[in-house]
Amino acid sequence: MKKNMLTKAALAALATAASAGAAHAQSAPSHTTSWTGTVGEDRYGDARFKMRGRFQYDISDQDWDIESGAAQSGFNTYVRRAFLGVQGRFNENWRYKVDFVLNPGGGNTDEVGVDDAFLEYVGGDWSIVIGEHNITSPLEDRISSLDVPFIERSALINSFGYGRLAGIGFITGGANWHVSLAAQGDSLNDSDTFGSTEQTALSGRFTWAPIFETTPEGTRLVHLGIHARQRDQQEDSAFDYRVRPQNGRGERWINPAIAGSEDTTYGAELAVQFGPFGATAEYAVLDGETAGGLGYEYDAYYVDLYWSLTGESRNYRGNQGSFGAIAPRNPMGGGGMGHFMVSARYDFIDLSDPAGGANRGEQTAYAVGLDWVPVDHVRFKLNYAHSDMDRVGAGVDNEADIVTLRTQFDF
Amino acid sequence: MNILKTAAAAIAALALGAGSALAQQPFTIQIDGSSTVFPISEAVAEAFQQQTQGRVRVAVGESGSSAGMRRFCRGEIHIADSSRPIRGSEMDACRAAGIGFVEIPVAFDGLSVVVHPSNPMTSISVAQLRQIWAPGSNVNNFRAVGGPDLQMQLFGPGSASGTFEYFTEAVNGTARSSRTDYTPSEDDNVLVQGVANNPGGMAYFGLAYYEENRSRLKALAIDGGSGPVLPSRETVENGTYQPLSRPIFIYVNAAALRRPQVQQFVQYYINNAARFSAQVGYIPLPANAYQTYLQRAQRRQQGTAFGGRALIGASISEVLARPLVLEEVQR
Repeated sequence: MKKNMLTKAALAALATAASAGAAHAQSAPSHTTSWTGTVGEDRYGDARFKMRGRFQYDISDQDWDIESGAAQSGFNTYVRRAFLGVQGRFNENWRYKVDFVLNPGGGNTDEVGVDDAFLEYVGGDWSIVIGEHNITSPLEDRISSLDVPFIERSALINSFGYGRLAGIGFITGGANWHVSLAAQGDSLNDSDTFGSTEQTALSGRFTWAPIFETTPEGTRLVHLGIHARQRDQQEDSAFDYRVRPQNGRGERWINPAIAGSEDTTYGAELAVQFGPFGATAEYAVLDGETAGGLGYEYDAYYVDLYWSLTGESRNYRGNQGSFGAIAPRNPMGGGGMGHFMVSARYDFIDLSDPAGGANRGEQTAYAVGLDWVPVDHVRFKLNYAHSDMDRVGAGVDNEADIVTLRTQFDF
Repeated sequence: MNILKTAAAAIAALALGAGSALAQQPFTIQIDGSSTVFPISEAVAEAFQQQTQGRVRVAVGESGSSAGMRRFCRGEIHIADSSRPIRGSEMDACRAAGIGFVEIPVAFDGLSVVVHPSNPMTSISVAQLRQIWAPGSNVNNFRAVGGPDLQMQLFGPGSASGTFEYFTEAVNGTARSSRTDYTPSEDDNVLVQGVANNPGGMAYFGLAYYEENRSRLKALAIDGGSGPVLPSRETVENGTYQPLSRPIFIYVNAAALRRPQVQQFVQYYINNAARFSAQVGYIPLPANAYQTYLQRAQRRQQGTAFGGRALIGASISEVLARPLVLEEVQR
């Protein structure tokens, strides 16, 4: 894979090219702009093009009660995500999506990463995806960071190495089922050492919703899912497994410091929705081995509960086995006050295996959240999370209380 | 830790506040879509609300067939009024959102082409209509289509309208392909006004609006190849007013039909569709058709009889004979 060296200058050039492109071709078929979304979509025959982006700004107060190690408490504000991207299609079959990850305040400020960055060929009810993607990831990773119920995803997703990798994927599905398979290498955001072979990953996911029906009163849903992934380090850097106490920045205190060489992960998903009430639970177990033949097994799960105070259901997508954005029934400005949701989470991960490492241990996090979506595409999230971090050694436990307020918008 | 306590208290307070703000309101059946179907739905809704003495409310919008379908397949409304069959892309959108639909044809409509009463023209052929309405057409005088030397002023429905879709497909051969230099409106009354106030006016819309405004407008007889035929109940019913007669529909959210209020309303709609459609100027279906559709609603039978495509120039008996399918028919 090629090292990603896009600069912000290149990104600016892309944006300019996009607007110039719309101006130069005036012959038939003509360019028209569709305004059914928040952003104008350029249409030219069967072709479509639009800009997209997201911005997430967090205010975080961390209060750690630490028995050993450096103090971690503090009050910070930071940009959690800033994406700018494009999405479109050349005709019904050939589609693309590229989100560039800008990283203000994130160190090397001249380098731009990618999030989704793929070409997709859609043929009937199946498609093939080539590029950086996560189509086989577990439920919570398949939900956009804009729409996940808590500010940070669960320990399961963050510690078991989910996220995007580059490669090829196959998707098919129907009204209430989804199958995806992927063969991937490393992420396009990883630097490559030529003369050595990068990591490989094979993965698949199957979801099925035996009950899925929507009316204006809400959605009734039972979602079931399973997934599996097999990874091999090859000559790439080793896999690591670390967990944050439901914060977006700062110390990963439970850190087994295992240099994983191969691992296999199995997971199961359950989601239910009954009008304004919903619950999601995921479990996964990871079985790995270091290059030296040391075996380890980790497992993790979480249970989320939601209640939409204003009545909306989460927006399920049967053919993707995931949830999309919640649009308020009565947006602010139209006589309503938008969408309000309260949520609660129990999140557990066991990274204590094998015995011996001082920083191995378990983390249990409890979180409550309040979300406010005044209008579609604008969201405020207030989370309080309490995490108990128990290292295997005696007398080195830690607790963290973290309050985060997120302001986000997307287009 | 004060900030934490404050935050937790704020979450709890807001949860309670918002929860109690959700006062119970009477159940409201939400309908939106075609302005052609609107007069029937509105008449049914009014009568139904009177009958149920306000225990059930019915809100009827008229944002056009396409806009109504878009809302329907997002789960925002219980019933979509449509003056054309559901499209394949809309079936996909509904499917992805977990929305099943029950298709109920409620009446037949003759699409009328109207001019000002002072205009001496009495009929027009489909070919002449195409000359006028084809994309890029520059016909601006009635002389070009065998009429008087009179400057034309064209009015028509907006592009979100099922009437627009049906007319463009029936006349120009391709749905949604039309000249664009005319005055568009989703409100049929605006089109009526436009023609009634302009000697050179010409417009097309549902038969009901012509029936309602007979004194101010003149309908042209349409020659589809076998001589000019005026739009009327008889000519639509016996299938001679072609190609501008069409079935009009309501699409009902299948899961919502489990709600007694919605089931009751839809049954009331079907049982009274003949009366109300005739009252507002459309052509009722035969009684046995309504019987079939009543069963369809009671059994919540999903699917469309049209395979995601438009159906041009079908008679009532042809529409009734078609079986229901759930998947889009590939072109």
